[in-house]
Amino acid sequence: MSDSLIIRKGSVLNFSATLVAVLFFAVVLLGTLSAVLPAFGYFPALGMSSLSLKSWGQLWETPGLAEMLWLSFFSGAGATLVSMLLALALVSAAWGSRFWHQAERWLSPIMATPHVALSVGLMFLIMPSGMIVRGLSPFVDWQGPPDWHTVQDPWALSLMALLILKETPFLILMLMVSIRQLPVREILRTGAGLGYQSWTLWVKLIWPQLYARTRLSMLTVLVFSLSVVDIALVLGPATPPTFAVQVLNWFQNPDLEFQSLASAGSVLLLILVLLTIAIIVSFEKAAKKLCRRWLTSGQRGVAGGFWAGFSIISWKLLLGVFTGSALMLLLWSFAWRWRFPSIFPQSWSLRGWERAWPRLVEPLEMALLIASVSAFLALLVSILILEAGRNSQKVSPHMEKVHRLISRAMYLPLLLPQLTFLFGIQVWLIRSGTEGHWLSVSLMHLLFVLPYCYLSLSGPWRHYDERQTAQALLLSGSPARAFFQVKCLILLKPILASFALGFAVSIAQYLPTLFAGAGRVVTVTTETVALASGGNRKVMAVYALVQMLLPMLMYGLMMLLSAWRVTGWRLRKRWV
Amino acid sequence: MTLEVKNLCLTVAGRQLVSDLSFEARPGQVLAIMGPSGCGKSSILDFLCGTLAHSFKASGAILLNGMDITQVASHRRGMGMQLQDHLLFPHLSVGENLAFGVPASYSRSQRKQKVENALDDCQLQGYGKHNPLTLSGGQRARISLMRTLLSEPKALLLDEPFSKLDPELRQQFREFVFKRVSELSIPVIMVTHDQADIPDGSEVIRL
Repeated sequence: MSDSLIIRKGSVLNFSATLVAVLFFAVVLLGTLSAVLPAFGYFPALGMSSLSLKSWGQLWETPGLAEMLWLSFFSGAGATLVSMLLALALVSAAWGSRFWHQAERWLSPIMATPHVALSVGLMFLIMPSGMIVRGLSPFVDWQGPPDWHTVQDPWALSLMALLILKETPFLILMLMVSIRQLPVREILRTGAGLGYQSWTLWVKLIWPQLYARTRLSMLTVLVFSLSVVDIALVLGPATPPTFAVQVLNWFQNPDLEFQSLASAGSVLLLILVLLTIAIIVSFEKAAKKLCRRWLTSGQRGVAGGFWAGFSIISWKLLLGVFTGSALMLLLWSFAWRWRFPSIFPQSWSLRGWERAWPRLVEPLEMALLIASVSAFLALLVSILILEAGRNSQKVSPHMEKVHRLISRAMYLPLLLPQLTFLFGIQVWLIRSGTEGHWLSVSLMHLLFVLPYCYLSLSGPWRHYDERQTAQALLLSGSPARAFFQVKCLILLKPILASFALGFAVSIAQYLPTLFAGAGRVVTVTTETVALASGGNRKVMAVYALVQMLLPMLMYGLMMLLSAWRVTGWRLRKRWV
Repeated sequence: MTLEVKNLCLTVAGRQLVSDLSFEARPGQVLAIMGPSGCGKSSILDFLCGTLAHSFKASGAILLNGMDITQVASHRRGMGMQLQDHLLFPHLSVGENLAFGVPASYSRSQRKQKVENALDDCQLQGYGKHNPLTLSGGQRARISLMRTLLSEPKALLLDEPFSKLDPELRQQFREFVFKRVSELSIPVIMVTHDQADIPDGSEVIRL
């Protein structure tokens, strides 16, 4: 194939990728803009066309505003900080030991578990009549559940616990990916030769480098934690709630007057996120200056063994709480009579399933359809952009820069509070008459599924040896065959894993379904959240368990497909 | 200080790498270990330093000035290790990399002076605030060695320290290393592939 033909094809590929990426960003930016304008009185659909600050006045007069903002900040920033420290500590303690492999095995199931399902399981574990209190009751002679606020507590501690439980594994995974780029063994050997304790070497030398590499992931966790709604509805405080929940309440108020107040609220949420990021950046700068002297103070470290042990115990506790939460869902879904303080149900029954199943079928089918479509589209777009990125080097330096910009901006939906731009997109969906259709919901999910699929595929795509494709092209003379029969098959494992990840992300989406579905499209997630505010525990457990099983089954299926192939009616193990 | 190894046996994945090896390095003496790739040369240094990977099984004793340090934690053994990659920590400046090696017992002004002296010794005056990634291979090697020496090791372990340098730099760096080693009068164990790396009069162990 001549060079000019390759470049022409590369240009087409780049153009398509750029177009898709621009459309993607345009939707997010348009959504944000459409949410910001009503906050300043401009909302033509409601007959408001002059700019005013009326809704901001209303917002400031909201009772408990400062408390709601503080709760969001405390739970969001606190959970992020603890998760990051725990993740760093665990990676340091587990590196090179059997715990590293244990962590690798457990990360996928924890990450695949939707937040809402896990929060229902955690609720069953820590509530006053939950398993922990039942386990303690024989020792303290409790005849009834104690009057404790362990769930929906006014300090948002249970919400924080869930965020830590769910986000620590994500950060551990990101750290594990980043750590491969560092010469850890050489650093530890050199440091030991200088007389430093291993733990001190991790903190002084490896953490700063790891932090710089995983900063973006930490910020996505921060934004999510500050603006999360679904799990805050299950575990968060109610009077007052966290600020994001209050904004959703305003959006859902049937009185249209509340729409501009909700818009102002969503802008304030964005400001809260930006301020928190600014605080973190200032802390980083201050810490960089203050810690500089400590880094080179020559202190070789003390109590390293204690911290390593503490990290491993924290990891085991995390796994214990995760397993306990999942078991709670299983127990409650099959329990019939389960009086306090019995550890196990007095009688078992399938009635919870029989009662839940008829109403569960439709949301289940809808969740499967939406998740499959959004994950498939995300996979296609990710591959298109990654291939374009590879080609951009051949086309021009300008295209290379454009591609780098696209890669960075791919994380935009994860760095903005969902509420801020989803409302704006909903306005456009209403205008175009596409609100309440499953395809609109799938496309809305795509905004959040795409960054994760792209992130998971970009590593394998970067490390792929292009000589394989070049060789295949020479042998077959067909770019399509070289791409599909060689590159895609060599990268089949990460491609299928990326699909499973996208599927899991889509299954967990609550707000995008709520905004684009307009109540006409319901999924297992929206139904579980609705039930969590006071539904039957057995039915709630069935819904949460099904929600938890969906991504796990998809992961299992994809692992099976990536490990085996069918040739001549026989199953054979794949080599790559 | 004398560094002594007695009856060292090293096994990995059921394969015996080193069997019943004993040797002794006296103050100021360079003891070279030579052998083909994969024969366990670097693993011997890791055993001495206490950084041997968990997959290895090792037995034997390490005596430093007659004291058994086999069970002593790696950071308390007083072994300085110099790797072939001359690893400098990228988030610290050149001066901070050197300061990282200086023991905490020195005052701030003493630490500063030691760093300045080390920079002078490396002929890199004024480079204290530079990014280590901007240094050449030879400059990195000198800073890395000086950092190890600033930590005041009781023995020095050199893991193919010259292998990644070009021939001219190699010769310069050899002179740089052995001059300082003889000044400090500490035992040195060096792993190398190249006979030319070994100073005259050194004892050589072939695996």
